[in-house]
Amino acid sequence: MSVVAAAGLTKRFGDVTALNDVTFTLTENRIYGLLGRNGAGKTTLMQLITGQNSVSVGDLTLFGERPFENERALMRVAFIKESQKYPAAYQVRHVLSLASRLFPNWDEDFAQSLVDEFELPRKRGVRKLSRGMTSALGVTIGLAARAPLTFFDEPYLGLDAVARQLFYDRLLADYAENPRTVVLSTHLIDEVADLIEHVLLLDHGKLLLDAPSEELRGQVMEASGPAEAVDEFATAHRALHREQLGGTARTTLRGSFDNAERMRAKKLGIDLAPVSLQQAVVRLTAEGTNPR
Amino acid sequence: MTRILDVARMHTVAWLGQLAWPWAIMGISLGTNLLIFASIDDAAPGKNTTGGLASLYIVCAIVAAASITQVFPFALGMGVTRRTFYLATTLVNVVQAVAYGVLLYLLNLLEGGTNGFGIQLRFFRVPYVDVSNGLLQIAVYAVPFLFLNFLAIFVAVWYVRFGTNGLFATGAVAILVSGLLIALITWQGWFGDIWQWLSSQHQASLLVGWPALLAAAAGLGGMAAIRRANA
Repeated sequence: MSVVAAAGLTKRFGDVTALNDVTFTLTENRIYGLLGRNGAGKTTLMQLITGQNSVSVGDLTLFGERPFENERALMRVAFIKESQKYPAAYQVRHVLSLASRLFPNWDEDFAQSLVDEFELPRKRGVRKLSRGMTSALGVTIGLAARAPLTFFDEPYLGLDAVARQLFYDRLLADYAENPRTVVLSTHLIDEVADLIEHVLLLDHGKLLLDAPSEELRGQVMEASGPAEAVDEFATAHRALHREQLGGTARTTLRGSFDNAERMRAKKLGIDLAPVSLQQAVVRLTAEGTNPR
Repeated sequence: MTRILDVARMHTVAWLGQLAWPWAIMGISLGTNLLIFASIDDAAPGKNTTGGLASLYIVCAIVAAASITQVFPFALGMGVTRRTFYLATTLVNVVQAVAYGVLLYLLNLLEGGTNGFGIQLRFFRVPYVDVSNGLLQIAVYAVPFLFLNFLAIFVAVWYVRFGTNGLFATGAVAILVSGLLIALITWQGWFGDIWQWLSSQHQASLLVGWPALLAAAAGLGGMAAIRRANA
């Protein structure tokens, strides 16, 4: 069953089109990476799915139902965002106690262990927490809620490297025990590259890419070698990027690289290597922005 | 219903601000009034009343408005629907109004029984608002809470939905319309008729019926406005 299905999804704010004709589905028990530059429409997309905002045009279902003002569907979603606002009077323990009743699958022991691991002060006012501690509180809620669909929108802001690693470790371990659909929206692509099973890439409100990360890794390669040979090899693929230094060229290519292609590259004296997910995303976004 | 109760807890979990401040401020008002009136040797008859009780109503209305501007964005972020949030908020405000009405009635009895705390003070037994019937007295205390709180909630929802400019623009229009209305009434000489109508109203309608009706209108207006509001 699809957890989220969007068809021709469009959202306009005045004369700004934040999302433009986006179509995709999210399936059960998978970790998605929702990637894209600032202003690409990632947060808008998550706001629509979580009923924070209404759809302008197109069709959107969450667990088979329209999400806007739909209690039954929204109870199965946790949306952890960097911009979450908390009432001034709340302390950390208040937020946790409220969350424990609002999320049906809440695991209190897990929540308490995360609070200890992140060293969150239970009796401190939420608005008095540092940037990193506020993020840690969000991450704690997002993990302990065990919602069938969990969004993390830039959840790591202000978190130090140790705390971020703790988040990734706990997410992966808990995901293995309690499979669910997780959407990570982040700019630190390399850090989460191993976690992400499927990539959704947005650019200027359009869905540029919707592919399993393994497939993407095999599709985007960097070919380097003598300029003439590289250019000859590149004709069979889509060149996303090219740079030359003296007689040596290096291009990022998109296409299918089967054994025959790898042999051809070898014969031409070309070094063919996969690029990181982050590089692939950067090159694909740049190509989408400046079509040749 | 359990969901509504769980969401209602959002308003009461940090109970100190929600419950304690309004009463603490009223308590201070009562204390200073006691001191002032005790230090006046022989208060002239009828001059021993104070408006200190209004502080309780005003602080409660401020808390109600803050519950919208602060708790609503949090609730929406936790996957609560606007409808559930508003129903929970309504529940909290109605229960609170009734509970405070009863509490004020008990304080009214205490004040009456102690001869105005020994100095003939009328802090809770505000003239005209002091009625003889116990149940009516509770309603007389409770309904102004509903009226002011739902008005404050309506204004706060308007602010959340339309922003600062939207709030001020609506305020400006409201002032303009009421100004024109007053001008019309003055020009047509309708004030006498209005005054006559008001004074012909039963005490219960004036203190309970009409404010309750206005509170309900503000409450329904807030419900309609919040359904399309985004945090």
